[in-house]
Amino acid sequence: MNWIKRIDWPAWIGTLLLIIVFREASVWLMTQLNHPELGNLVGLLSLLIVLFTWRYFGKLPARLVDTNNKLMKESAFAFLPVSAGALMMLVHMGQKIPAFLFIMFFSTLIPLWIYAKMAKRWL
Amino acid sequence: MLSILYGFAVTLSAYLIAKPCNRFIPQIPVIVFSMFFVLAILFVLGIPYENYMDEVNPLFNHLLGYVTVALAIPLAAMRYDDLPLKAIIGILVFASISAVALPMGLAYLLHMSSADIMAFATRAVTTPIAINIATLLDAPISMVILIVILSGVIGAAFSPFILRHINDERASGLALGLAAHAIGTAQAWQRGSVAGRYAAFGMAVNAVFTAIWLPTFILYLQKM
Repeated sequence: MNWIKRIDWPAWIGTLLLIIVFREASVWLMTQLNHPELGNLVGLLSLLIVLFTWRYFGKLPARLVDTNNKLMKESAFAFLPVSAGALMMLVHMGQKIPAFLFIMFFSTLIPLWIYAKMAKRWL
Repeated sequence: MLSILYGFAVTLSAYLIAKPCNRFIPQIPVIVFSMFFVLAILFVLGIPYENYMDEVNPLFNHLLGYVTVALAIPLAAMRYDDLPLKAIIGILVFASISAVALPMGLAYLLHMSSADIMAFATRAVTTPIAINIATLLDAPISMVILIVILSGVIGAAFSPFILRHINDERASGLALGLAAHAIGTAQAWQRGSVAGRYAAFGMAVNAVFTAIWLPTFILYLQKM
């Protein structure tokens, strides 16, 4: 049970509340403006503006950043149902599969390698 | 409510089984293991994917939203004063344009339908923004989601091989965020917090930049 005691509960609750409040408020606001699909993006940008303002006046709390790092490490979980669906949909594409996969692999992996090479050289 | 919990339990079980598998074979990302485990569990339990998705979709839409908003924290925590601005802008512009031109060009050369070619335009943009761009361009939404998710999965799955000689977590992270958007960013966080922060930066800036120039450019071409 030691691992439960080691969890920084105030930091977790604060970080989660910050994210949930910004996201839900942005979705609500954009729904009122008839663009609910932009809610997540507006949430990201508004939280970013608030955090940059915070950073301008003082340092961001390390506990917030650490907790969020742990959260982001498990973010793949949120994509799981749609990713499994993409696999299912691909199987049902029939004759289009070879051309489709060729485009997908070529246009993802070659740029991935080129961007990494460029970034390694220039950063 | 019970079926949502059931669907959530299926997803969580698949994820928890995938974690030790990833520790055993670290070259294969957690998300790739988990995808197969979700489908395997659904198959064993005799649940059609459509039923599962209908139940978990509202909950996971929320989670996807939270992940998108949570990206603001690493972006705000990043140090920008030591970033070479000209180089970063150069990489971002090149990445944004090539990520649209390359798949669309290949789809055109392989004689795919014009709707499919349009769907490839959003290959490297994160899902919520890709859907918005697709709506503006009249591209088929389901095809757009498939392309976006699959490119993220391909980028994340093969990144350990493609990036094995890069030896720079900033470059690896930025490349993953630019080429494989949110799923690539999730994979970058598995590599470490430096790669994760750079991936989040690349993904967010690429998404916003592409969302501005791509619809403007295509609508301009259509009006000509």
